[in-house]
Amino acid sequence: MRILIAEDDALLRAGLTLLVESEGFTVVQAVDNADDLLAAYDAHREEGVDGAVLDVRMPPTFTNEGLRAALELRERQPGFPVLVLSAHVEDQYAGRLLSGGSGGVGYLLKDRVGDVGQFVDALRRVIDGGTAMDPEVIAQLLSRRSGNDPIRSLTPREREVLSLVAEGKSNADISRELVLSDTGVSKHIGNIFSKLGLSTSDSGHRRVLATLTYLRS
Amino acid sequence: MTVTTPPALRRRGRDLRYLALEAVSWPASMALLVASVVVLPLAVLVGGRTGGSPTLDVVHRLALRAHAAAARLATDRRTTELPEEAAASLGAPQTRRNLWWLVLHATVVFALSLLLVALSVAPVLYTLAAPWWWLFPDDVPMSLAFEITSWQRAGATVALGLLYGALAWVLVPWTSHRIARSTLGILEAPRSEVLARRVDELSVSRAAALDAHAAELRRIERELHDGAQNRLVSVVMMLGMARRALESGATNALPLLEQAQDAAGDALSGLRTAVHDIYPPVLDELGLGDAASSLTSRSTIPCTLDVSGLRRAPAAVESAAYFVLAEALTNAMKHSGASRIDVALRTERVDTEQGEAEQVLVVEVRDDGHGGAVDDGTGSGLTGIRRRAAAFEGDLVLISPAGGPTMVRVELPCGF
Repeated sequence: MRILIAEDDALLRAGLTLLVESEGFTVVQAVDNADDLLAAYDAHREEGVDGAVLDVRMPPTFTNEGLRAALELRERQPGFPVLVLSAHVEDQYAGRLLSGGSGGVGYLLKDRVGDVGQFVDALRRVIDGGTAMDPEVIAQLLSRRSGNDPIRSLTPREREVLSLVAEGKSNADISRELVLSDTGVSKHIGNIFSKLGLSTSDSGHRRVLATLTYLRS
Repeated sequence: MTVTTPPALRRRGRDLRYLALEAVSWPASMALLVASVVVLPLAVLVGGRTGGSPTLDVVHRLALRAHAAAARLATDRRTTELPEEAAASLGAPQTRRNLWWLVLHATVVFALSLLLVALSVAPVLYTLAAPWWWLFPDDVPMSLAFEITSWQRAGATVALGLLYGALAWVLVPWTSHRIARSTLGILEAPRSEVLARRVDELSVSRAAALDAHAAELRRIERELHDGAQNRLVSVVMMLGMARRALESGATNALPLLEQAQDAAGDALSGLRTAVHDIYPPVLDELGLGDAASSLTSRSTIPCTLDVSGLRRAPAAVESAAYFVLAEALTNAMKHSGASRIDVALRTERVDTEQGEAEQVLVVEVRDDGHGGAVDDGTGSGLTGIRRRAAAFEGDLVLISPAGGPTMVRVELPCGF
């Protein structure tokens, strides 16, 4: 899979490149700012680019250039997979990334690169059109919705499952992570969806998006 | 043998000199009053509210002189400095005060001053001249207060002179001080106006302090984010990759561990710098003088330091001075091309606009480089220095002609 990397810190850029290449990805180009990223995308679009990994904060203003570049890329190619990395996560930013309503979006804390396996899984999931939301974002959303809300009627276990669903994990991932059987996971999800009033017919990425939309509403 | 003048007489001499000067400057104020009456309406007609400014300038200069003279006399009264430049507008409060003073000076002040000068001169003239009345021919007798044709009349003249003298003795100090106090009272802005201006200045400096504080927080956040935080991300990334390599039985994990260790080392030194920059511990322990010496000793250009006139100041001010110095030294090292830097830190007493003495901490950095430094507000070191100074109501003076040398001088009021 061919990806672009935008990260202004030289050491991190080199490290990220090394990491994804050792996991079998091809880094088409690694740049240090948002403008160069868009230029690289245009330059390599013909030969095919499968996704981009970008840092939120880059020159010149060091605020949210990466986020805006990600949105711009998805404007140019709807559903273009972007994995946005940040030193801290903000559910507002997650909302802007998800606002297009389609998958292929990831938003993770930079710290997550420490767990190489999880990080690479997340990147693959995003490139496949899935979603990868940082647990921190989900925690922010859940704590914001912890008022008088159907979410309060969830059991602790159901809340765990809900968090993992919202992060974009598949049933298999969830069953592995929580040491549950596949049918157990399915049953939990069915309960959660009926308690929250969501349609159980949604599956896959649509299920994730529905969950995130619910949490953000 | 020296003759010492009695203080009472000396004081009256000074008061009389003041009155005489006020009387002598009458032609000028009368001429200006006439000029103002004639010129100002026309100038305003032609040039609008700022049309009469040349005339107003001259009035202001005259007012400044009168104010200074009055302030010297009325030493018991707290005085406020007048603005150095005349307000260009006719409607400005100071302009109105100047014109009001001009009217009084050309009329009442002049009349009183002249009267009292005459009252003081008359006794001398009368007592010295009257005894010589007999030298005058009979048909043109000596005439002072009245014609003197006999010793009785001469005696009466001397008596009258002594009476005038007694009157002058009492009236000269009283009148001169009344005039001086009135002059100050008319020309100076009322206390409320001074306070209002002070409030404006404080609001501005408070806003600057908040801005500087916010800028400082942003700077610290940037430094931590770009330094330690990113390095630590690298550390966990390298460790993660090493672990993955080891788990998969690969043997090439060592370079990754080495990189992780290097990145951790970088993170530590970045943290050390950031922590130091928040508040240099050396300031607390050793005070500004020694902290400055550790800065100058790190300079790559030979640097002298003079802290002989330095006293302790509030921690916030010392900290600001420390960073101003650090910034100025960095600037000099980066841009000046100098071969020598001289640094001086000292505490000075200055008089404020309110006439109170205040301590200021002065940071002075001179270099013999090629000069041409400008504070163009583009986020250079100088802008940072100016912002820090402004936060303490301080000033930055930059003298840097092309070709050098450069002097940066920052004054930080210590608030007492």
